[in-house]
Amino acid sequence: MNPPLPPVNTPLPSAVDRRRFFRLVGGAAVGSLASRFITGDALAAPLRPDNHQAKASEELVREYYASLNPYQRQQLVFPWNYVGAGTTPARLGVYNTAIGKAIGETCTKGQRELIERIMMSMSSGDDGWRKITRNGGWDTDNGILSCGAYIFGDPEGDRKFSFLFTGHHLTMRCDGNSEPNTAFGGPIFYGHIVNGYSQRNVFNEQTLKVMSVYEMLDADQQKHAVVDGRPATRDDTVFSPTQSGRDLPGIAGRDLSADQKGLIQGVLKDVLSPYREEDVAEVMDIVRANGGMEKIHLAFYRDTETNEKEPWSYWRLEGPGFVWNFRVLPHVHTYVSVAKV
Amino acid sequence: MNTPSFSTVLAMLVSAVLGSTNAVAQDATPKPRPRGGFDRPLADTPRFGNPGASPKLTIVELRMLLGHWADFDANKSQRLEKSEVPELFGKLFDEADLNHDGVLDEQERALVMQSAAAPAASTTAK
Repeated sequence: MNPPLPPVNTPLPSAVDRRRFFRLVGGAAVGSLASRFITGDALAAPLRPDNHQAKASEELVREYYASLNPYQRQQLVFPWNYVGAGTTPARLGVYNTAIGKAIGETCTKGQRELIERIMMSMSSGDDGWRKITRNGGWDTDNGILSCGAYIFGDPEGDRKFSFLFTGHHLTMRCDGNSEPNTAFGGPIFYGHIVNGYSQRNVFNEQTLKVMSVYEMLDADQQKHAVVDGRPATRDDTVFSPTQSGRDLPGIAGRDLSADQKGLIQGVLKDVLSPYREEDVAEVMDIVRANGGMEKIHLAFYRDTETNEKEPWSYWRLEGPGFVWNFRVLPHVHTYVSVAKV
Repeated sequence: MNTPSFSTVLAMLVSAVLGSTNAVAQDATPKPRPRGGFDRPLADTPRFGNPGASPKLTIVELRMLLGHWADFDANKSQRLEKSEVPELFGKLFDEADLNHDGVLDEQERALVMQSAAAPAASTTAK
């Protein structure tokens, strides 16, 4: 289990590296299909920040990288800014499937087990592992073998790198803090192919928790918290997390009592619980730096799919540089983007 | 043996002509790359359908893999053991292992590499 979350309302004195993340994401056409076959310093990944620390997950990524044979490197390792068939650096995308060769068609059993250890080290305890693997099945027909595990940049030495894991309903990263001021190394995605209101959904407790928050709001607050329709599109959510000062839907943390704010912080704790401590701490640092829980809004969305028993199709926590967009119906799809602004 | 009537033959002809026209039309209009998280920037081709499906591996992919035989022969035994190949190739490996000794030797590799099976007629492994 993760330790209790630190308070998030204290501003951090550290300087904010504004919008570096957005510049990176917006910087299309930085690579090409041909460029990855060019070698030399020109395409070497940039140096990681001086203050990066080697963690268990990162060491395992290095081990995975070292284990790859030349053919596997050709299929699974890409330059830091590689775009491929997309329009933005591929390492920063959110994906719902293996985005290149799958683990089962490239990696040996030993390497697959190593990838499992990496993913295990990026999750928090048994419950985190259960959620991330969706009860071990990975929402695929051949488990982890149908997912993909790719490396961008250079995990050996001091160069930037990002280990990107993608599969059905999952995008996660481990980057040794190569992407500064950005939690999880970039936007992430999780989901489960079961109705979010069903107890069979591994994220059901997140839904129940947020519903209990709604019940604790008074009538006027509930009115402000409910939004008809659907939230912004995925692209808006992930690639342009809310800038400071924009009007946001839902009810803001500053309009809540201390008890109610504590409940929202409880939701945040729950949604962060599947991830390793370093990632949780980074999210909380960024929330604090961006203005704290006071600036986080909570909105519940109802549309034609909702009814009395299943009242929300989406709920969303949103603030400066922060989006946690949880789709409950027809099954869970959640996009997350947390970056300093 | 029954001889098909004129109307049956005509219907088959019309159907065949319309079918080929549709096929040409489909070929002329490339499918757009999928959105909604189904993008595959590291792949040559987009994926449609079930995003949790495994790649459909055939003898074509096995030949491609065996083209990198030396890379996967981790213990440099000049033979490929099953543990040295990616796991989804397991069924194809067993089919190529003609003497069932659990390894692919040079002769078995040569047979796979020389096989002229077209992709449509090849074995599919899950």
